[in-house]
Amino acid sequence: MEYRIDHSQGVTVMYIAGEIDVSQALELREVLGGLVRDATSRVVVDLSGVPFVDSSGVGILVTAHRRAAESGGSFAVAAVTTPVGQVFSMTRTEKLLHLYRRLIMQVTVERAGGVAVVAVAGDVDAGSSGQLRAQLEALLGEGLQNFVIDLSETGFLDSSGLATLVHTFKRVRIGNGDVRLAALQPQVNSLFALTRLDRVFEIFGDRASAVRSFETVAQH
Amino acid sequence: MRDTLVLTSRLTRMAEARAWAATHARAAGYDDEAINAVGLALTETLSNVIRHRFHGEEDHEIQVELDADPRRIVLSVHDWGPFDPAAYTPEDLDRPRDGGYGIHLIRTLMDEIHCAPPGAADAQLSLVRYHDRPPPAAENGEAR
Repeated sequence: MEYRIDHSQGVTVMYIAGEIDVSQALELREVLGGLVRDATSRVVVDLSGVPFVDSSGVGILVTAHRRAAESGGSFAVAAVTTPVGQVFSMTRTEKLLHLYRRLIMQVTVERAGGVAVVAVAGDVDAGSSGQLRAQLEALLGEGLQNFVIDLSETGFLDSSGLATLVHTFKRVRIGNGDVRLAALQPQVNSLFALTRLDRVFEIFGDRASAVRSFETVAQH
Repeated sequence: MRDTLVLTSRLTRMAEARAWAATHARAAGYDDEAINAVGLALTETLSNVIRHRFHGEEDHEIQVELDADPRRIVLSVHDWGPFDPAAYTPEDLDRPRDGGYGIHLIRTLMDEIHCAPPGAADAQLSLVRYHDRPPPAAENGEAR
């Protein structure tokens, strides 16, 4: 286990990389104990580099959370990998620790036939949507017209994220292309309903169906 | 539970502000839907302050207060500015637009909006969301 601590803007972020098991427990407990001190402590633990956590690691995070709650500070866990998320789920600590999938948005692009499949992971807000827009622009620049946006790993999207998708949609409609959305989480789904953009975008339950929908059209 | 967060005017800090608000809202007993709503309203408010009031300059301080109890959550953002979201007329949502959803979302997700003193350059914006939300008012052009 390695870690890096970044203090900025009143928030302390501890980035951890590597496995967390009982052999690292003591060190983790000491470091977190130093970070979670009083009502002014605002600590986020970023676990994006952690593929494994055991019960001792869970226990230490829960202890840190409890200490923060008792002292009036705040404590959150971010960027949990799938296997680590499963451990939190099995120990029913998922809600308690308030897991954020990622603080840093990541975009990955695959090409399936003439369809650009853009998978977005993490929060999309005005701090990150510019990066998404730049990547979509680059794909438009390559001449791609058909897009599937896979939002299965996006738990948060704000109005700038919506604007980015609408912008891309308008661009591709000129050439009869389309932007189709896949695997929306409930909170993101409700956002599309609130803004009536669920009437603009075709929304699919999963990525594969969204990609297939373009193939069906192509055969006509 | 009342807490204050001071952050600099950078869009990249908003995720941390959401995490902060979520932690307090969860501790006060709110569910995922309410937590996401408060996080989204806070994000839209902060990005408005950063982009419109501070014109994207990154060296200003923004003070946010959160007061969460089992009955309601109150979010207050200092230095919001003169624009009153409560007086905003929503545009036609049936036409997709490249922007302008932020204020609509704040109004939809929160139950009360107060801007005080009204019209002041340094007016504070306060947003209230009740645990038991009042039924939605018949507005926003539901009637055609």
